[in-house]
Amino acid sequence: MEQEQSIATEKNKLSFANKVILVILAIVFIFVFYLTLDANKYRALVQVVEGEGQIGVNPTASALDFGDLSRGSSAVRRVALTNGTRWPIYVLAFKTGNIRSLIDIDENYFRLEPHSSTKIEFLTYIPASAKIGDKYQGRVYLFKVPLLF
Amino acid sequence: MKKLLVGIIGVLTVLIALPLLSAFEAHIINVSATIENALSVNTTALDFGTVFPQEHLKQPLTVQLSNSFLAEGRVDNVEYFIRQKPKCAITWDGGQSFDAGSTKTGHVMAGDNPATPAVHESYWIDCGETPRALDTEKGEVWGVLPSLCEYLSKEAVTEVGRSPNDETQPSFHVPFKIFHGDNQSTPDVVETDWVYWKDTEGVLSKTHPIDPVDNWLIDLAVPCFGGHCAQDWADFVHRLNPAADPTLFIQPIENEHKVFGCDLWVEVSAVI
Repeated sequence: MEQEQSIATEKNKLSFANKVILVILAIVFIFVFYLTLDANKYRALVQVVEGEGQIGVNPTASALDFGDLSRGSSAVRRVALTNGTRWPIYVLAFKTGNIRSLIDIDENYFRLEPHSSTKIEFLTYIPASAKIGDKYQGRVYLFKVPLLF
Repeated sequence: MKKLLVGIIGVLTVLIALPLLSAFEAHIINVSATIENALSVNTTALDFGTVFPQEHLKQPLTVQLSNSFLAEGRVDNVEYFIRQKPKCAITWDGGQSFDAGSTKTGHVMAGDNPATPAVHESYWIDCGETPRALDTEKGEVWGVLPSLCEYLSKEAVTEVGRSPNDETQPSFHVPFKIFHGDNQSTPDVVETDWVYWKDTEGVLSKTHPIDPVDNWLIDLAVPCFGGHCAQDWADFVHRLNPAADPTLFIQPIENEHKVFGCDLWVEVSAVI
């Protein structure tokens, strides 16, 4: 009986290689979890209004709010990004929601050097096919991945 | 029991480590990303159609606080300006036809254009990449349109006349100027050349005074073309802008029949 228990314990023990893999996976998980937690998450929205030459503005910094726009008009919001560290960072932006197809990002997937700043422009365009009164909403996620070199 | 203890310790370690990492990031790893208190809107096309020299045409433009802004309780006033920028388009027939669906705003770059070393310019206009492939057999060209900006006026009107807190810009003005040397209003940046924009300023307000909508009239005073100007051209110019020099606003004859363009941008400068 004691011999059977000993064999079962031996089988349940992780090998050294498995332990290393487990530690690496745990570190990767924490790193990804941290990047997700640290990412800037912005609400993005725009409303389509009737008529030509109609512009409704909301320039507050609480969201990427492009305001009320008529069909055929476009609006730009900017996000100022500063890297005050001694290491470069890699910047990635993702869009979600039904506003996703209306937003163009002028600079994405780029490296930001140490002690430097840049501005990312988010441009939205209201196509002729947009329905009057429709609200396009979504989120923009800005990930900042630290690089070692 | 031992496994449960190890699991609890693991979870606690992660929970403690995350705020520490966050604090580390905030104080030592100083990376910030903030939305600017600014918004730029390119207006819909205000199409004046085919026009004739010395015609005077009007188009409305409404700038207002958005529904989402009115619903917010924090802020009150929005200061903005209307800026005129060059318009780039795909043209053919010697510039007499253009693709209205493939236009872009041209960026005014102060200084000499590195792409044209044989010519020395004080500024140049960067149209960027063409928005679609050009049909060379048709004779399509990508570039900046002759400027209509000089001939557009901006007047904010109310039911009882001009809006008291908004500027007025008559036709026959220079939309931008290039200055050499450092711009004193931007102490953080050292420039050798910079662009001064002739903007038209406006204010929107939720309260005191209640002014959530600005109704602008965009007038086009159509220019005449070299050698074909009517005798009353100077009177026409002075009636709309007494300070303007009529001779500076006569278009070269080679631009006659061409499509002209100007992009109007409404840009927010402050939120109070």
